[in-house]
Amino acid sequence: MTLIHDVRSLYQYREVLANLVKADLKLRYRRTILGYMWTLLYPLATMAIMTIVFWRALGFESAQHYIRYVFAGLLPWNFLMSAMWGAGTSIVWHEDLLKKIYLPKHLFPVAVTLARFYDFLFNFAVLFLVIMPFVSYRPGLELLTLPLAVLILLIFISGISFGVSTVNVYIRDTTHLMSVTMQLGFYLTPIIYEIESAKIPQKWHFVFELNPMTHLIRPFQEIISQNIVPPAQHWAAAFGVAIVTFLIGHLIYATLERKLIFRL
Amino acid sequence: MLMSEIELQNIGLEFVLYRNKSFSLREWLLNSLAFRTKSVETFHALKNVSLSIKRGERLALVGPNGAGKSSLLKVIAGIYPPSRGELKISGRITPLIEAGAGFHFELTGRENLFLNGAILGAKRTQIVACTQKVIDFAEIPEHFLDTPIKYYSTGMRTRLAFGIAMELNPEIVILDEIFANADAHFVQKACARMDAGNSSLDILILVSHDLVLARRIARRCIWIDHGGIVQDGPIEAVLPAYQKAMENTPLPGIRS
Repeated sequence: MTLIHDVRSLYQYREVLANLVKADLKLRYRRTILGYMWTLLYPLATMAIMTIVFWRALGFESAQHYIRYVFAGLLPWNFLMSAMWGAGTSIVWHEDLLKKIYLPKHLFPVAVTLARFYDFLFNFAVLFLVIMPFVSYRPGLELLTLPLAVLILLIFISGISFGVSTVNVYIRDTTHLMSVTMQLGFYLTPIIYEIESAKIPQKWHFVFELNPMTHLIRPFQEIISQNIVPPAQHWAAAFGVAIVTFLIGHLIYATLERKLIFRL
Repeated sequence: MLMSEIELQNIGLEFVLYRNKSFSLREWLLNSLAFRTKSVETFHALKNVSLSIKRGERLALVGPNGAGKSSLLKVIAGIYPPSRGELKISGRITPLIEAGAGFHFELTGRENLFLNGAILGAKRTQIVACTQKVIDFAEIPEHFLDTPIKYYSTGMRTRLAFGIAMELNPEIVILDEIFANADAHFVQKACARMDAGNSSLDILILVSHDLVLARRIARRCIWIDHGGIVQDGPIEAVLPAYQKAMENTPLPGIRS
């Protein structure tokens, strides 16, 4: 099984992986004045803009509820975006290294994904503590199921990272194509609007059903914005989407990995 | 302890030459409209190379540009999977291919020490333990240590790379033209370091156009051209033959 082999090589190269993650986190904000604060400011600004512009128009009962809803969807979405961007160019950017020493190629997308995952957790924790006291949020036991939603999201995004990092070596249009589709994807995913309260006609609901991100974000929204434990069928949908995506992404990598070096 | 050994049998390496390395829609459309069926051709970088290198050997690879020296090294280092043939290697390989390879240019010298050390298979504690020795050997000025590598001179990067590699008990070392940018003082020092009997160094493979250096370091020499071995033997025999052949090569493009 190449999957087991690939996981084992991650363990074998764990020191390299740790160094790559650290380098990524350090370098992104080196020589900026606000430094790591930027990762917080970006989602905060987006949330503020969305709230000011949309909350009334989209049929939410209060601005507070809207902020909670957007928070739940936006942070996972940002994680996906940033991991996809990073992973897309991760192998290509390390061409110099890969041509001079043997390293398992998947170290690079995995390192980027882990670095963005760290950002996500940090963002989530800090913004949660900063925002929630002001939006009349009363956490219940359902909050304990949040780690499961996070884990499922991580599996999904890892699969995407494996896929895009590999495909981008062969087809360099990938990153360009990504920026267009993701822009569209943002509006086709119920993040800044709710399917029900935005009164989207029933005949368009299939679009959301086909969009994998709808299923992955839903548990977050149910836990944080609706204060309920997500029902079993929603967990199953999220988990199913994540596993299938991961296996496809890894299959793409495993199939093309050996010849990758000749395409760099 | 395992004995380091390298064994190559009928190794062939082919590159598919793409006009542009990745697929482009425009090109594909243009090509199919022009009914050009094949836009790729194969280039044989290595043809049927067989050789065996035993523990304790110091080998120089010589040959003109494009002969296949670097391709051979990259196959041995595991960077290029060979298209055919069999490759058996025991021992840990430390490839030093071009100056400063395996460095992240935005990271500082100290950070690179850890990254590069990890890539070469060292544990963090091992790297911490040898940091001072590496810095002393590489003669990196103190205030440069926490500066990104991109501000280093090529010579400094070479010294650092070589210093790390040598401190981490390498078994099989591959040196591809890494002394091209180093000054005489450092080359002297590096040679002395490699000669020092206390190291774990089992096999050394050197690629260099500096034949004096090759003679200084190696005892066996392999002359490569057009992806195959022309001659393999003691350096005293192979080098003169190679030099003679080079001198007698016509110089196309130059009118006499």
